[in-house]
Amino acid sequence: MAEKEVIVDQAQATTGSKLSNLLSWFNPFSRGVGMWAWIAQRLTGLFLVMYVFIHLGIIGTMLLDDFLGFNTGQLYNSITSAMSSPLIEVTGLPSIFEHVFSFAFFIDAALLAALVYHGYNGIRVVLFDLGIGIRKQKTVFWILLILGIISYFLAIWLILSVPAIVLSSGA
Amino acid sequence: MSSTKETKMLTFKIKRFNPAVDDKPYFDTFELECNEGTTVLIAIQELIAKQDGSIAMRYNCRAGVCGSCAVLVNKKYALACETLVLQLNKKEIKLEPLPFYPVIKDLVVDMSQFYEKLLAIEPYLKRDHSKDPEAEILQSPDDFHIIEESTKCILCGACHSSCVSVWTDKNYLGPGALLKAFRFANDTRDEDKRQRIKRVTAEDGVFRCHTAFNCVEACPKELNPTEAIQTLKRQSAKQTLKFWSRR
Ligand code: SF4
Ligand code: FES
Repeated sequence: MAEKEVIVDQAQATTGSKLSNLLSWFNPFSRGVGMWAWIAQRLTGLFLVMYVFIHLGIIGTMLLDDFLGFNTGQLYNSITSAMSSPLIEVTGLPSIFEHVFSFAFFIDAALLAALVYHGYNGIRVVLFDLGIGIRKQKTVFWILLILGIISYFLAIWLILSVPAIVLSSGA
Repeated sequence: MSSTKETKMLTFKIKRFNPAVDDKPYFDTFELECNEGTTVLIAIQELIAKQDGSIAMRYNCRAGVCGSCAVLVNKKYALACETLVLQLNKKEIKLEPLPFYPVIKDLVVDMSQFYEKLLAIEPYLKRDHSKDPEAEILQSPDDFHIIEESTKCILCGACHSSCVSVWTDKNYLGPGALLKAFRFANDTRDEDKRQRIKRVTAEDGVFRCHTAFNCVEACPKELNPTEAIQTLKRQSAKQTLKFWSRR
């Protein structure tokens, strides 16, 4: 294995524990939008990675069905129907709104928010790597944030309307 | 007190800590009459002279040149000698030492880790001096323009103290040293560019920068270390890829 190249070794120059240094990321002093954008990028990134594993776990129950000798899709179907069943019963509303109160919708909404933020801020970071807009980083952030919010509501509208369209065409 | 000058009574909260005596840092409160010419440094000097001689503060040039007086003023990085207290528009002014550095006493911090990293990038012109002209080595205005801003760094260490990557990776060179690395790597009189870029390409070099822009936010000289680091990143990528394609 190649030896790690160290330019300066300062292992002894410690002022706090690893954890306290990490927590001081969230210390609001002399910070601009760049810092908060970066923290949010990290958190949404972590969330997305965790989501992938949860997602794989739930999809994986399809295989588990066969393995445990259940009917095809029994476990998987019970999980998905539990997730999409309404959290609160609201009657008299158009069918679109029934989705809004399901657990699945909350997960989808949070996932989309993280995805849209991570993607748009990712574009911002790529621009910086190309040397574009570094001096205008705050403006770039706000422009992309507005674009992100627009895309977010567009996507939410799609989530809500597409199942309704599919259902009505199937009937 | 002259009657022509407008004066105002301000409260100063200074973070005190003497590691030899105290267990924990604490705040001391002082009151001082200030006028429009009073800088944070002058205020501290007056407090030392008239109220509490034990406050420790480091300064030298009093003109924003030497970079020894950087402190946190109301949670913002600033040079004490260049910050006018009345322009802060606050009744209470909070003074703290630069975070992350070990405190020696009160507002004085131990910046040796910053200097050590600075030395690691060899911050001096390297060239074959046998071919030097008789008089000074000339540089065209265009060539100077590339590095002009980065030559204005006064090594106050504020950017290093603000950088989150420095906090979590002790060996990361940090924005201050990398700005200097940019300054010398892109100096047309320097003949060591290859080596310099190779050095900052290592594990604790430019690619530890996550573009959080804390250094830009911190720099009292309003320089842009992030831009310099991003330029170094591109130069480093170019040089490394070229090196591979040649093998
Ligand atoms: S770049 Fe700015 S903050 Fe950093 S050492 Fe130089 S003058 Fe100070
Ligand atoms: S005393 Fe020299 S920069 Fe402030």
